Amino acid sequence: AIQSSRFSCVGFPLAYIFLACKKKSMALKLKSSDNKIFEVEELVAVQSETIKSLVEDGCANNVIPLPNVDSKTLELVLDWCKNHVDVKLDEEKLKEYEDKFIEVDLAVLYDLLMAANYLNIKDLLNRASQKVADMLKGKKPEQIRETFNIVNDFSPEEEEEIRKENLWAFEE
Amino acid sequence: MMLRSHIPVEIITKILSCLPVKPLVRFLCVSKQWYAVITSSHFIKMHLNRSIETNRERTLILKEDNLPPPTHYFSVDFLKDKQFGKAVEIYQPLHDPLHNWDILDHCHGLVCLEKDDEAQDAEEVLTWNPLIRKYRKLPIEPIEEPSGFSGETYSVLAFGHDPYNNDYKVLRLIHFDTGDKVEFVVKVYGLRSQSWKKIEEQWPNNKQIYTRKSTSLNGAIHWLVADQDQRVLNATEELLLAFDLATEKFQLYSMPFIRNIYMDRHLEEEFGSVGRIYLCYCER
Repeated sequence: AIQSSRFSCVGFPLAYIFLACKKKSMALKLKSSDNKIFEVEELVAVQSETIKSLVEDGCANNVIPLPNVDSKTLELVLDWCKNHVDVKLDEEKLKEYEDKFIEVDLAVLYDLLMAANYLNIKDLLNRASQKVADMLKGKKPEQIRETFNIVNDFSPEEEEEIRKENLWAFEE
Repeated sequence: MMLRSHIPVEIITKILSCLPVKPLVRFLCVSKQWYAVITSSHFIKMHLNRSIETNRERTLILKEDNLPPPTHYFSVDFLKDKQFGKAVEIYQPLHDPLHNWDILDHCHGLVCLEKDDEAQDAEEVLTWNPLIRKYRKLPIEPIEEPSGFSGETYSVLAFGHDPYNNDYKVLRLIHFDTGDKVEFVVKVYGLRSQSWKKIEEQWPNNKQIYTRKSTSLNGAIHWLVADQDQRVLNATEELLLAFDLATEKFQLYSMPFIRNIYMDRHLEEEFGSVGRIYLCYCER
């Protein structure tokens, strides 16, 4: 019902065709936190749900500022997006690309996680989270605290009690 | 390897949801925040959904009844090359040297065990999560007979998941059998409320259960039922009875085919097999 009423509106079909033609060639300008401008195809950028909704709301005509992402990270993120545009891409090649892409140290992973979360890019967020999880899997609680700079706020008695209840999880 | 920056809790949650159960249990003592995240119902649901999506940590549980007890349980992993791994004996939920325990039903990796006790003098039921090696015994009250009742009383248990309230529930059907007539009292125990409640909705009149075990699926518990006073030895109308765990209502469905239930009962007695219905849910 919405569709038909839209099309009955005089002048709308023309505008619609115009937009549809323009869509393919449109490039978006993204500005990183360190003021570098990245010009990217819309198809690449809209893999970020955050940018997609900006485009849909018509707020993407000028430069889109991304104050939470630095240029180094944005470059990586856009590379990921470029490689995920074509859905028909060879699955094996894509996996190879992703495996290579994610082979970075924890500091870079952290930046990627924060950016993927802010830009709302689900597959990147999942892949980066899985990578960090794989790094943590075999660690002891003490090593986790050290890695993430976490203060242990349990009293020694409280901690001992939780450990005692779950001794099997500490066995090799 | 160390991070200077602070990680927001939503990202911690996301990372933790990618971990198997064992490190998660180990990380409970990292900090109060991590403990709160890992034990929250939001996280548990997220972790379960991710397990279902990615098909990870799937395992088959085998049960071995022994004479004398206790029952032994084994887990068999699905390997990547579509083969089964070795059967490994898993942690025993309880060391009961007197009884075997039956798997009543299971859902989302939570197993409901029932004490195998012919005499039925002391019913016992527990829910068991083999992955975190924890179990919880449910309180069961003795059956209260109405005054002046003479006949037999016994009860049957069932287990299922209520997706609307995200709760796991145990159902208890108490039979009052006078020989001519059977009446039912239905009670439900919610793991959230941790208490029993009587179901007001009446059990369909004059229907007797013909499956020893129920089957739970898609938020409902199912039995095969038929009119109790059928004495004819040929085909009798058999119906599927469903109890919706969220609305707490019964619904009868006619069967797509007619089966001779007396023949099946005979088979059951002869070979000790259980007439159990198998249901599967097809998403459209």
